[in-house]
Amino acid sequence: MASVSFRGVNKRFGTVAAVRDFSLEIADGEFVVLVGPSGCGKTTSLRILAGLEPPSGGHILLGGEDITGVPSMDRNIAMVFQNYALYPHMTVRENVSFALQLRKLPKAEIDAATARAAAMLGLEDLMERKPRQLSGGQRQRVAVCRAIVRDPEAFLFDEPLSNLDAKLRAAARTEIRSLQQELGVTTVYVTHDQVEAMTMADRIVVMHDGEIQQVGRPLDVYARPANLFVATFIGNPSMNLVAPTADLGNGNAGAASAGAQSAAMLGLRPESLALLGDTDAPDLTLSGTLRQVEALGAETVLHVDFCGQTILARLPGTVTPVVGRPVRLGCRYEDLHRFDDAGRRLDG
Amino acid sequence: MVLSRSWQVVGHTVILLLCLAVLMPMAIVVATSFKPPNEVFRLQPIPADPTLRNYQEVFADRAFLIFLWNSAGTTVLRVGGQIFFAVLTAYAFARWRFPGHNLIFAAVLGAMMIPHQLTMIPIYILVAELNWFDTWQALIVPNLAMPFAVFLLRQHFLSFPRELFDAAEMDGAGPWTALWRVVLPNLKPALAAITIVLFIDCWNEYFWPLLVTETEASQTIQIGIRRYLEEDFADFGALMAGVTLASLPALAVFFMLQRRVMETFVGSGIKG
Repeated sequence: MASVSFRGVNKRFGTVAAVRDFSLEIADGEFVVLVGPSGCGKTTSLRILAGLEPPSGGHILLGGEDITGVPSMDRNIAMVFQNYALYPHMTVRENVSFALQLRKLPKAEIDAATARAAAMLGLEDLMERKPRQLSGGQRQRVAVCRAIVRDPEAFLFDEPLSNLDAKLRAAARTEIRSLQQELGVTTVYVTHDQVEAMTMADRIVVMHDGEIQQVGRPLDVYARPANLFVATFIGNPSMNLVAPTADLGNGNAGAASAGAQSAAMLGLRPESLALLGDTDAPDLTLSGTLRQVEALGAETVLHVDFCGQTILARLPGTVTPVVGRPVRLGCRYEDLHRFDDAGRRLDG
Repeated sequence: MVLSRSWQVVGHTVILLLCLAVLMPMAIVVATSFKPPNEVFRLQPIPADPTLRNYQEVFADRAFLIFLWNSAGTTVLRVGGQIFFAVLTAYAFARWRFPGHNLIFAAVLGAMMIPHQLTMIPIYILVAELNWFDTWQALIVPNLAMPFAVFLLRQHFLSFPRELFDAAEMDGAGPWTALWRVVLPNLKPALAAITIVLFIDCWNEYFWPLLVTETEASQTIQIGIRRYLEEDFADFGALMAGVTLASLPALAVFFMLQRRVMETFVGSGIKG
């Protein structure tokens, strides 16, 4: 087990900067998730850590030791790939033990380590099968098994759940997280799925255009997004963005008291909004016409026309208003997020 | 797309005619090899009095067995060498960018387009200078570089999933180990297909062995069976028996590896 450090890492592909000034300290045993949209540089950063891509600049440290120029095969880092990358011509047993065979360990030791790893993942009955004879979930477990058998200093996961169906993905999330906690291995996990990021990570790193946008604990990032990108990327449905000039019910006085006049943009989480009765008087009010209702059972999402834009409100599943009617949504000052002209959060 | 009934009939008729055009000469050769001398020039397709005399005659001829040995030995060594060098060359082209990468690959492609006949005379002179005339080396060494095989294998290497290279590297496999233990076992269909083509091409080659061989020391079976076709006497029965026997190894390799190609294509998916 070891800490991982990215120190000012850059990566250019020709004229395109895939990763820019990426600096991150990952503590020993920590589970860090790199999250962001496609092309944000998260997988490139992971591949640089794995040694599969040389950085254009900067340094990578593993356990305090500079491994920037160390070949991938000598880094003692294990990786689970998006398509699992199991060797098609080998059985599960051969796939899992391949790395140990290459280290020329004694056969008894290889067999014991393979059996131990297989038992942890519940693969004992599948050891003589070829990858093509396994389901997607089983292949994913074999890929994880292949990673843990080497007893690496760090685990890297590159969107390992993206090929699984929703139900299996939820189970695999829990399984991977439990396994990581049990083994205590430093883990860097790449995903574009914010649910994976929020539910698995000790800390999440939100990336966009090759740069880190924010690093923090999932709930902190959710509650205090550092900029407009993070605010809209994290959270589902996305945060509503409203110009401070919009009519917020209590008029400019309300906006002023919320400190909104100095902001270029205001943000409101859909779950911060409540459907108001005729006599309710919240800090801020948004009046509009209800255009669509998504009744999801546990919750209901309202689409409300407000000053020419659509505002989403997430309400309890028991609320089912009628489409086409005028509605009033309200929220508290403290639920308001304020951003400046550059899209940065204003209140720190 | 589903063809209409009439087009299906036309299509099948064309295929049938093509098959007949290919199979008829082979059938005549095989049938003649079982005919006694007095039936050789009769038009009947099936021998009236079939005999193994022609085969006995061929096997009794010690030189025929030597030709067979020369053919088998030089073909195995040549095809093995061609595959070995093609694999290494194609792997280098597919995996690494190095100075002159494109230029060298363009030269390989260019070499594919030069007719073999054009390079025969300089190679012949080289072989003579090396005193390799009438030796196995003359049949093997000048043919070891096979641009066509390099090109085909490079395409296969390029389409090989990058994640498997990456996984092998992370497991601790260097480029050599990755090639022999991960890449090649998954390219068996491609290797089998290329082996079939190279084997048949080499086994059936006539012109180059005719140029550089002279005696039983190196003459291959394709050259050797001419001995049944002398100016004053032609033993067509023995000749056809020799041709039939000479065809068998190529057919055997074809059927053996073709099954392998099909098995591997059907049975595997490269994505783990």
